[in-house]
Amino acid sequence: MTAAKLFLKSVGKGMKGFGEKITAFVNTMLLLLVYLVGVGLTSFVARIFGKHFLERKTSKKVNSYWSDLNIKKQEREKYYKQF
Amino acid sequence: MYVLGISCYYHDSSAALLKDGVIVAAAEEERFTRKKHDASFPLNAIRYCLESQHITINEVAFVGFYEKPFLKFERILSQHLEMFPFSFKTFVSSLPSWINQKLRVMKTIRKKLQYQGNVFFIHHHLAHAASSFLVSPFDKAAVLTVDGVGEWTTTSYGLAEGNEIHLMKEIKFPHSLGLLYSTITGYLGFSVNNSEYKVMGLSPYGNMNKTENKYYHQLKKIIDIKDDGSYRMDMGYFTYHYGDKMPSRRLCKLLEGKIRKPESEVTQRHKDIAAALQMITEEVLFKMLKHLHAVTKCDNLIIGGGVALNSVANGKILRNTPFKKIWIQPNATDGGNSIGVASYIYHTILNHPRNFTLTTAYLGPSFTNSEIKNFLDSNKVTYAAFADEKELVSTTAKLIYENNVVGWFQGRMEWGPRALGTRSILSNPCNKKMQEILNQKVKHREKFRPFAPVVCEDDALTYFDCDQPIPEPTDYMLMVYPVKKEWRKKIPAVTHVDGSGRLQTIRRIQNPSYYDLIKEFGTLSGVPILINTSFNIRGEPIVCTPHDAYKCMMGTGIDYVMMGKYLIKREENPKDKWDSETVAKD
Ligand SMILES: [Fe+2]
Repeated sequence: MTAAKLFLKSVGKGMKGFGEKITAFVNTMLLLLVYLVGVGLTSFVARIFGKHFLERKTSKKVNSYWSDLNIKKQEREKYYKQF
Repeated sequence: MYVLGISCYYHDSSAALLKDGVIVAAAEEERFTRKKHDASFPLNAIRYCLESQHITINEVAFVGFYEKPFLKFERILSQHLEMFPFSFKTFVSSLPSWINQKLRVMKTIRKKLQYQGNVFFIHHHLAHAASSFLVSPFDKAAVLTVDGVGEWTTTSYGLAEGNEIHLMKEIKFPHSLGLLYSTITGYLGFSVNNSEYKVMGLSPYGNMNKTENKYYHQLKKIIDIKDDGSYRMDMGYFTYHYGDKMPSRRLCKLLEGKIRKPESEVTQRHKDIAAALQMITEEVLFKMLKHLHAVTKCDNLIIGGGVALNSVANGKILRNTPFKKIWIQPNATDGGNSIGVASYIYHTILNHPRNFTLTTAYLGPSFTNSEIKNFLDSNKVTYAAFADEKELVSTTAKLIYENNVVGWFQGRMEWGPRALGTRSILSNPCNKKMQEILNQKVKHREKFRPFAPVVCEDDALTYFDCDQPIPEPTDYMLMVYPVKKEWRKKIPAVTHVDGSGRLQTIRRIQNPSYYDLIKEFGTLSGVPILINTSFNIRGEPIVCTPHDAYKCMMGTGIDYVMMGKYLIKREENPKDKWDSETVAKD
């Protein structure tokens, strides 16, 4: 009885591990699809038009890298926003 | 009116509670979950904050979150778009947590806290600025925030006055002084977002001469610093904007070697690289600060963000810039932002005049003598009780003077990464071997790291070359100063190789028994200074409860713990059962 229980328990454990691996695999495939189609296509089009999403370049010509931020007190409603 | 501030999901999540503008409780989640730098939603810390005031969430008028999640997500997406296809691995590993957790902060607050009121979101660097300025002694101050990255900003400056803060300029991701420091920390074989202070501690062993240190010149190739302190980095040397490993192959080539393996030998090359990084960090900071002073024409300075924990640089600021006064809050990194957002809501958004100055870091949980006795009795711990505080102080001073390692568990737990005299391990700084003894018995830390001294504020100028008047951040171990030459050999355990000390100053009003203990030790030894190091096992958060403290003592070589009015001697208690974490519970 105990041996049977132990056997069933280990089978259950194995199934759970297998299920988790399948889920991880499916998730990765879905994310790969999103990455290739969503990110990849947008990135490809952006590159054609010379659009950059990060300012990576340094320049000897400019005197300063400070850019305007200008965060100061706003109307209360603005603080409800997450962006 | 109660306002609750929350900071979480990056590292060091925390909660802080304000009552009518006064911070009444604040703590980091790691202290409760016992997971170092725990980034999860700070449910335990929030629970502690509410219980400390005997209130429920229904009595909280406003909740605030320390950043704008959607703005941060926009930056993450931009990284993937810019770096396609190199960012695939991080896309797969990070996107699920964004979708399931980080973009659902509002839902989590509603669900986990059963809170139905208003939630405010403020910018990450504004939270850094607010967390320091709004609880500072200054009515007007220039503000500098420097960290790894918030939403987009990595560095910002501005001017704060009364209850308003104006952040004027920024440097945006991917250029980040904080991430440069973290990258080199990773390169030197230390854990990123945790061990940056070790690199700072290693730097004095390296060549601090800019002309002679070749790694200084090498590192200067990867950062373009302008006269006004603004900077950009050559991102070809970094991978953090798309990968999970920070130092790139190109960086390894520049620094003439592979990433150092943890626990392997620290060579002179590693030390010189640490020194070069520290010199560059200070160079950028001082240039930025000179520019900030010229723009704001204000002599008071507030610093926030992780880089504000660079106590070596902090100790040099007043001598190298035009600023006359400096203030930094004890938890200047992301964990401290819960105080920032709560204070910003109360004072700035709701427009209440400022009525509170933070003068102590003791904002965490405390335990009464009867709670401690209860714990000790129910776990059959052998202990003795002191008749009064005088006896507690004199016995502890004597034990420390006799070279015992003593755990000091008294009052409210500290806010921030440093143990400041309520969850501390104390020992004798005059003993040449004490560094070795402490390392052997408890800390097991790298040989190059000295221990920190604590001295009463009124004695500090006798032993240390501090700025005058002594800046208040020294109370929070945020300023490194030279030990006076004549004392260096007398307190070897707390004197670094360059003759400096990362001291804590203590005023009697902040912690009377701690202050009296140092003075009493001074009467015995002739030197009123103690070694103060954090009360924890290596790799674990600082202890919070009597259970944590007792477990720490039994798992290490700490000789005694002073817990409230009780004295516990390790040798009088059986060690075996405390090898198991399951035996004792609070
Ligand atoms: Fe930050």
